[in-house]
Amino acid sequence: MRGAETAIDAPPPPGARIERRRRIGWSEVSLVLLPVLALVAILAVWQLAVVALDVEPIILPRPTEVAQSLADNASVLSSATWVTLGETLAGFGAAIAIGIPLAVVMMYSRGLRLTLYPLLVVAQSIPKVAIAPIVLIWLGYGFEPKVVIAFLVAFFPVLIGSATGLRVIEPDLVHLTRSLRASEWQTFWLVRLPSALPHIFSGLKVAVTLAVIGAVIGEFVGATNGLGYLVLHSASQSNTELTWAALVCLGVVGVGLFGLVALAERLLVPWADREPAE
Amino acid sequence: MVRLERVDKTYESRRGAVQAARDISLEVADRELVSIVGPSGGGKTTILKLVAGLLRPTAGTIWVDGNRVEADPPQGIGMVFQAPVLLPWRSALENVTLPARILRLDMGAARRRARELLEQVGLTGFNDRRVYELSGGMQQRISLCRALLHRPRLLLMDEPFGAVDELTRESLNDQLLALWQADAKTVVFVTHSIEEAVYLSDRVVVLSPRPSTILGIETIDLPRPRDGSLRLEPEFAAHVRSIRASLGLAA
Ligand SMILES: Nc1ncnc2c1ncn2[C@@H]1O[C@H](COP(=O)(O)OP(=O)(O)OP(=O)(O)O)[C@@H](O)[C@H]1O
Ligand SMILES: [Mg+2]
Repeated sequence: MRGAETAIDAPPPPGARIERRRRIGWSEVSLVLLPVLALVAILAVWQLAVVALDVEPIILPRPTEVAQSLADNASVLSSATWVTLGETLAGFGAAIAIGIPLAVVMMYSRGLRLTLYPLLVVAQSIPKVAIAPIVLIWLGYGFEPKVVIAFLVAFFPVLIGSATGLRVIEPDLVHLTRSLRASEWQTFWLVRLPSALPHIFSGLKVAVTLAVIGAVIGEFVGATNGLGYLVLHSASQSNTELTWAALVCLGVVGVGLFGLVALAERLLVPWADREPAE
Repeated sequence: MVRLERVDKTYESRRGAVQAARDISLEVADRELVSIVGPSGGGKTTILKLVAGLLRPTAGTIWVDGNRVEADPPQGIGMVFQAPVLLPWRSALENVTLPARILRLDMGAARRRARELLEQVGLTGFNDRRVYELSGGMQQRISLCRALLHRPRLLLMDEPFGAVDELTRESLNDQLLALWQADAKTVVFVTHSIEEAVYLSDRVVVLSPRPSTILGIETIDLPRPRDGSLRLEPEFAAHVRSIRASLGLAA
């Protein structure tokens, strides 16, 4: 009798509840499902509104028309997507290849830190859109100026993330390796760099989204290919469906790259960003 | 083994100077187990890090093993920090074998020894766990194993059992004593538990509030090997009472 009562009244033991959550995996499903549902709802409202208010396609095409344009212009769009993706990745890669080592050098050299940091902050405060025409004058209308602009916008968050990560290390971690007479080389690879990774990845996530924007800025200023070029070109020809289709491709590039960086973060830095366990 | 001579330590910071240790003179013999007790914020951790060569004294001199401790930490020390300071990107076992990696010892032998040590402190079956999945007390025991891995001649321990319950603490005390007796190390042990200090030590150094000065040194002449029943003996209580008195606590 007593036992039955407890079974009904008492909350389930904490372990059991966690077990059930695991099996359904509601949190994982909802992570994808909720945004997708929201997107579908927005598209539906959009479609209905455009039809109901009889908006002209040149002002705002229906989602179905955008989808049709995506299908019709698949080859143009995919080649433009590859171009923009290539520029973005090259710029982002350069930002990593230069930003992280520079943060390391600045951590070790106080002189360099005091010299470079103010200059970098000043450089950062100049809008990159304003620099883009100059970069194009120097490098022409091809692939390289877009890479440079993507690099310029992605570089700063990589540098700041890395510098912060390297600075906020728990002092006793360094004491630990020093107490074992580790070389600075060992301390760097065993302790400093891994413990900086959470901040480095925060920087990378910002940087990768900015790199896409940088590449598009470059294409806006002058290009013959790429999604940015396609957006301008189709809009000037009043082919608004294609403009929107190109925007969809840009969105896919941006979200895809962000997702890849976030995935790399989850694999490489599983100890960071953990929510408090229930 | 360890000698401090008139050691002062003052931290300079933007908010002003903080003197953490004043005129500390102390000698710890080879294979001796000496505890340091004193109020929180007094300077116990500071003194331990000075001995480890991690901090430079403002004045005075420190010798370890006959060598003056200068810029570099002395050779062959093992350190247990007040917080576990484990590497969250490594498993429990990899954390314990970290000294072997740094000292370039044979990794196979290191892993075997690490497994033994983890087993001795009651952590079987957790070798491959990420350390952030373990409790505070478990993490502290892993950091103890890590400090012992390379068989250091001098063990510096900063409240290593502060995060475990009384039962586990007493059994870890016994394990430490067994290890110490078998492996002949010199141990400097910081604790805030007077009972723990008396149970483990040959001598107990009693520190004042900040800046730490040595108020007294209590020699614990209780027989060894010791076991838990000692804690109930009147001699044990007498030592505890005498240390409490020098700390100004009701005895
Ligand atoms: N890096 C530092 N910079 C400035 N002051 C410090 C620093 N480390 C410690 N102190 C100061 O030195 C004093 C002694 O600190 P310490 O950590 O040695 O105390 P403790 O005896 O170990 O205390 P607890 O028992 O709480 O661990 C404290 O007042 C503390 O504020
Ligand atoms: Mg302390």
